[in-house]
Amino acid sequence: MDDSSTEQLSIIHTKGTLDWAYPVFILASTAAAMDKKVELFFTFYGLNCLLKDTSGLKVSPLGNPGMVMKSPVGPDWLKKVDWNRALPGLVWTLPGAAKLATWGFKKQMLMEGQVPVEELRALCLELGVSMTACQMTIDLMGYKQTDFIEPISFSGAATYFANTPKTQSLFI
Amino acid sequence: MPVIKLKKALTQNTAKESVFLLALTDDGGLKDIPAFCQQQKLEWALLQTQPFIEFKIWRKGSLEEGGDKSG
Repeated sequence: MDDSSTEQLSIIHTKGTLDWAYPVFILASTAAAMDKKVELFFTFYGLNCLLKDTSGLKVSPLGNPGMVMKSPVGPDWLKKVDWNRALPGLVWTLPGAAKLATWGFKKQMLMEGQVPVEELRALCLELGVSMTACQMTIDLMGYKQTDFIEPISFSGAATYFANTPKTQSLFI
Repeated sequence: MPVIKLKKALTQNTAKESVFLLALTDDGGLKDIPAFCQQQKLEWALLQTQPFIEFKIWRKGSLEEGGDKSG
């Protein structure tokens, strides 16, 4: 990697849920649009974000107290209710709760003018964001390289740090 | 997204005299778009904030108006 004065951003992403995939890809695409060199390193559950099959990317209010969960449909008074605060946590253990929350989250993001996460990810690649999947975690979790989108690279933490010596890094 | 769409429009329309009209509904854009323009060395003007926010954006040194592109 060149050590010129090019501004760089690097994000180490470890989360495997849909709500955490968005900020990473939004930050990455914005930084790339502003001509920064962007390097994303996905490890552990973060690998979910690079799979061809994104059906594993979900969101649930369960164990996620910061999540604001509002209905994207219905009358205005209903849309104002934050169901994660209004209902006891036990409710989110019921079958179908994660599916419902994921559906609502996706709909809410689209209403905010965002695009589906697959599209945002493709946009990042188009803008020149380079993505690396942690080879050790791939082996650990039993994935195959063919499970992942292209073009990404596969390497370990040492390669990542060797490639991003002067980079501003975020750990998510 | 407005920043990304603007960037794409900028890369697709490289003519120096291109003028871009950007319409957005997100109030965050009031600060983000000028910040982006400053960083990318673009000139900008805020045309309106109601019913939606609209910016006019052009490349520094180009005074004549050319084609437009909204996103």
